Amino acid sequence: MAAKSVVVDGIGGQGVRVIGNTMATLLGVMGYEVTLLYDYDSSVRGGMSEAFLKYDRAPILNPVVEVADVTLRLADRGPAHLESHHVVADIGLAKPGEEAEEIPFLQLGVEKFGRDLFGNMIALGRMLRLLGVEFTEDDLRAALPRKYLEENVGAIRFGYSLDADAIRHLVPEQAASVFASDYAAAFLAGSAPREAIEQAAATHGAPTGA
Amino acid sequence: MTKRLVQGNEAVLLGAVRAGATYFAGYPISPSSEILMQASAYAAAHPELRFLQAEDEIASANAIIGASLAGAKSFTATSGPGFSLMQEAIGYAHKVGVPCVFVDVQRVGPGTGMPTMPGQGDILQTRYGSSGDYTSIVFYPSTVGECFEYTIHAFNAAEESRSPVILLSDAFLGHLNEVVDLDTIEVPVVPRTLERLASGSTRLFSGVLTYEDGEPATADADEFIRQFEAARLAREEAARRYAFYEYGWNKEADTLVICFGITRRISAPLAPYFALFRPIRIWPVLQDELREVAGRYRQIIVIEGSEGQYASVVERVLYRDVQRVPLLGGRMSLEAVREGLDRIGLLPAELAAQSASPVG
Repeated sequence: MAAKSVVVDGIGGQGVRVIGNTMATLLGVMGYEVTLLYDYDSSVRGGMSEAFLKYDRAPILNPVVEVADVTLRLADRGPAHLESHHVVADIGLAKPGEEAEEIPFLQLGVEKFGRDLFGNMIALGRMLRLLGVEFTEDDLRAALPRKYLEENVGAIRFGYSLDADAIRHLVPEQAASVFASDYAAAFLAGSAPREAIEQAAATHGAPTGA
Repeated sequence: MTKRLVQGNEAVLLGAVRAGATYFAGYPISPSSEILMQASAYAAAHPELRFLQAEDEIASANAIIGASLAGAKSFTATSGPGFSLMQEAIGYAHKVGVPCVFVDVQRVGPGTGMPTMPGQGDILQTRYGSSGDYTSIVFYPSTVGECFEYTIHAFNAAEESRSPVILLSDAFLGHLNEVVDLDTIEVPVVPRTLERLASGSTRLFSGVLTYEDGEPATADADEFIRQFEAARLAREEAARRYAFYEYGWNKEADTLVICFGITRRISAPLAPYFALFRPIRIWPVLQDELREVAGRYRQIIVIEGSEGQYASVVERVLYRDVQRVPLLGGRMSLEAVREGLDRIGLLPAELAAQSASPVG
């Protein structure tokens, strides 16, 4: 396999290091070669905080990520030139034209596990799913601190369980946007309006509230 | 021990412990602070390592010199501005012949500069930072495992040369985490060479030139030259045992790339197109090795995180011009390397075409 590259983009205090360290430790437990590089601003508050993670079965030579397979965007502070094949973003952080999904991590952390910080572990789970990392329960428990172990395992498992359809319905606007896009595509392809609605609904389901 | 995630700065501390360090003094400064923080935590659990957070870098440097003279293997860790403050003490340690280790985790300077961004602008400061004629032995690793390994070598070289030895790192290397098993890295440890205090003999630790009996020799050129030559020979002899470098990549290419520390890591995708010479012992400069290798190549490029400090050294050693790819302002990335190579007209076409693809 070619080395996989991950970026976590945030600001100081958001948990970028917790996510990076947990992911790197898990991959290390699974026998991968891993590099994890932190890049951060020296500003006391609100400075950018980046984690560059690479993993492979072979030793990693260059630890600096130039094109990420997946970027987790908790804030938009990363290098302007950084490219990513797929972006997982908290609400409102996806940029026009990029391959991205928005998930209300902090909100889900509170709703599902009682604290917003567990949203970070939900995000980690989603990234692991996107990257196709297949870990065991033992791998996961060995990589996590004992404190809040059950909550963290649950949050990562929950994030890993999210698929594209589930994510779409976590955010009504996102579902509506996809529905509208599919409707437009069907209409432009020659379908009558009612047929286009049916096709879009059949593909992705009607948007929440529709 | 098994493989685990280790940070570059942590590996330096663990290397020092493996080398038998029993004293650390320092003052926090990014990006070296993890060494101080972990030394503090380690000392709390292992009282054989004495720890001092001093009031500043000047005090830190003088504290480790005092500790060494008292019998400890001692070290400090800092970054560019703090390293500048330590220069007077380094000169004193050379004059007196004190084995100790200074770790400089480089950031972008001058001045406070960019405190958390990686730089390599202290190459010449490690050579010429203090007054007078002296040469520190200086190592610069490029992996977390090497941070551990060359810290041990630094302590060994300090004992064998009876002089301060410098371990260079940088913000990216210091903050880089890699999965390593440090127990598999075996470096023999050189035992303490300097006599302990209170061991029966009278010793004088004077920065002033003196005769053996302590009388000033401040107007005796012959005595100066005698002591200077003895110190120089001791350091050169010790340095010969630590002539570490890497020569590889595509040795059949017509261009040689020279890089070190983190620039060695980010330049890795250049491997198919260029030969590589990576000095690990930065000072004394690997003159013979560099001349032998460089003679096989039509062009030489130095990629470094300064405007061209090491490039100027290479030019002086080889008596020929070299191309410079300076990575400034903390822009340590393959993209910056590609831009630099393009600017001097030496960017391989294949590498230019890869700019939009993930690279390992």
